[in-house]
Amino acid sequence: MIPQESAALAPAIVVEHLTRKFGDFTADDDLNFTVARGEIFGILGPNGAGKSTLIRMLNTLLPPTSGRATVMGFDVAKQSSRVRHEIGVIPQANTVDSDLTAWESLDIYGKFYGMSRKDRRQRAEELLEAVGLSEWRDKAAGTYSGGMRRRLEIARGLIHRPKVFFLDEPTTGLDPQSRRVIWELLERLREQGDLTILICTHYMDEADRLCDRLAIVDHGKIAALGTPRELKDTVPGQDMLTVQFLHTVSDELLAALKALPEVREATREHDAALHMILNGDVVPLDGITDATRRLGTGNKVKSMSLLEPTLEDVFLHYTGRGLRDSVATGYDYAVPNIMR
Amino acid sequence: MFEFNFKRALAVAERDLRRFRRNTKLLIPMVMMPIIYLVILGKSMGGDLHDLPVAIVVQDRGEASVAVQSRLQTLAQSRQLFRLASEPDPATAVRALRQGLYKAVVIVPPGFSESYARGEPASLGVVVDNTDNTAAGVIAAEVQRAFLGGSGDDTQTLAIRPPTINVERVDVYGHKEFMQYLVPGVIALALFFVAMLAGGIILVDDRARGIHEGYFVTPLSALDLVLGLSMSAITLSALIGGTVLVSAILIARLSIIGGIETIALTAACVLLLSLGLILFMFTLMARVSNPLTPRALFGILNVLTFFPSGALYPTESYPTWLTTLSMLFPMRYAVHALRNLLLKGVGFQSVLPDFLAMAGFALLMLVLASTLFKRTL
Repeated sequence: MIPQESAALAPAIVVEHLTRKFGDFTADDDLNFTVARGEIFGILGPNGAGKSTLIRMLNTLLPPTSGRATVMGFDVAKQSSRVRHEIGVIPQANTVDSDLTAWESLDIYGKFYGMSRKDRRQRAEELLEAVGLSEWRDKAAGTYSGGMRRRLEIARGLIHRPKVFFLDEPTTGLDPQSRRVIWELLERLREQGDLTILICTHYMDEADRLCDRLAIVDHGKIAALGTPRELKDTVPGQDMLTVQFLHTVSDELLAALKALPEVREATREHDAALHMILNGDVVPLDGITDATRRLGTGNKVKSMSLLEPTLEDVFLHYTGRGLRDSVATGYDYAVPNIMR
Repeated sequence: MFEFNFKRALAVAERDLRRFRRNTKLLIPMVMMPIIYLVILGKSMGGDLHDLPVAIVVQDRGEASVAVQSRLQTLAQSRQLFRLASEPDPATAVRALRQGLYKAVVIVPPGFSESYARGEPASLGVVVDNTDNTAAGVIAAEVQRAFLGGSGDDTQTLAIRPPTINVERVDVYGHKEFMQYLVPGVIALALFFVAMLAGGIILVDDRARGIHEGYFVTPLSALDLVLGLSMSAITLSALIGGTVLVSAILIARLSIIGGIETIALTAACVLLLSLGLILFMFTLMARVSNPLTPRALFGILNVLTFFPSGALYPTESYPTWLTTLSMLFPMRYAVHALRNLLLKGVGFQSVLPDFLAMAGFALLMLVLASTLFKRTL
């Protein structure tokens, strides 16, 4: 959740009409959004949607074709060196220096930011502990697994205590356990509250679990923006509750359940089971048990299962196709190599 | 063990050929390299020497002496082998030779005309800078030949009868082996390899591996990067250059004539050349992202910069275009300065022009490299 006192401050990231073209190809097209301080903001979209281009513009790696963006109040195009002091970045590609040990990497990056020796040592100890690499600190990163390299990159990106942390597909290519470790790490960072995080991903579970708000990006445009809950709520179909009764459901009971304010629609799946589409995200437990007691003539609820819409449904709704389908649409070949 | 399937092998070949077809640019150096090799090497080795600076010291005012001078002048003008200058006395002339201003000093000694008139053998002294044995040999032989009356019309008009003039060659530096002549070139070559590795190959590899992308999101500026990378490459150059230098001195049995000053100036020369070469590589590779490119250019750059540097054969043999090309790169100045330092033990004044040329080149490359070095992707 966004801390109240931070939300009142100027936003950490402001993006206004941001556009980037590569020749005739428009990678990002008139993007607009703001990210509040302390927020975890997600950019969800398939490969080639323009996520990396967006993150690279915000990281000062690519100049925008038009529009503007600020990070902690500094213009990414005009005040790029100020921006670089405020940000930590985990690029999509692995940029860990495999010849250096974790400790050396952190120390050298600390020097890039002009940190004192004492501060570097203290911060490096702290971060290596946080990412679980303390035991490996003196081993060359070339010997690390993919997950360990990613964690080292996260530590490296945080060495100078940035205000805004950018992560471009931080868990792509990692095994489920390594992904979970990274998620937990990011959640711990969120709990500390003073770091704004912008994360690009094509994993719905990642976006759903980590992000306070997210933008669904497709073909370089924002198709939808909101909290994961808000986005799911905009999808027709809502939460689907399946209630299994012991016996056949009477028409009276069905009518009473339909009449519950939380229930938009109720249909019979078969004699003893109902499908209910809910209005919000609250399951009307009391209403269902009350109605069953009054009108069920001895009937009882045997089980209930709630099926929430997923971000996949949200994506499908806004783009007309599934996220998974889009991943393999061959954008990799159509866009310049630089977008990766 | 010898299982073999022609179709499978053919598929492997197809894949490789397709790759080359998609990367035809990389094939260009393979064609260019031998052609450039042919032209540069062909013109930088074994060509006719010309414009060799030679001093003449006339200590005799007689008739025969005038004839000798006019003969040398004719030789200088007709063949352009020499560039003649006059010096007042042998000591001054030889001092200038030791500073690298002349390749040879021709001395017409007192009493030369008198001896000649008496029909006695008269001696001409040719003092040569034998650190450049090729040029020394050519000059001594040409002067000798001119007074042996072998060929040409000019012998008749000068009416000097052989064999009454003896040409006496004097080597200023004692015996010098060709191996010693090669030492400066070998050091320059070592520094070229370091620059190619640190300034070219590693730079582009790091870029391809994303190391630079990691740098670019930090406050590092383009100049920070160029200077930082230069400093590391210079350190490597100093280590490798120093090792090669000491080894070469021991192998070629060079004695360091100028002592501490020579050593200090040699070190300065090594640093200036490495700096220039490294920054030159940074400039060339400032925007290259394909790791194969520096590897493909390696040979061509070596031929273009090293062979016309005077490392193997005197620069005085080059045609004008090759001289111009060699003057664009710092190798020529470094080889010239190192040869003067290591083989002759000259002082700071003598190598100053070479040092200035190398410093100028390095500065220009620093400006170009930091301008071209992209701070963005």
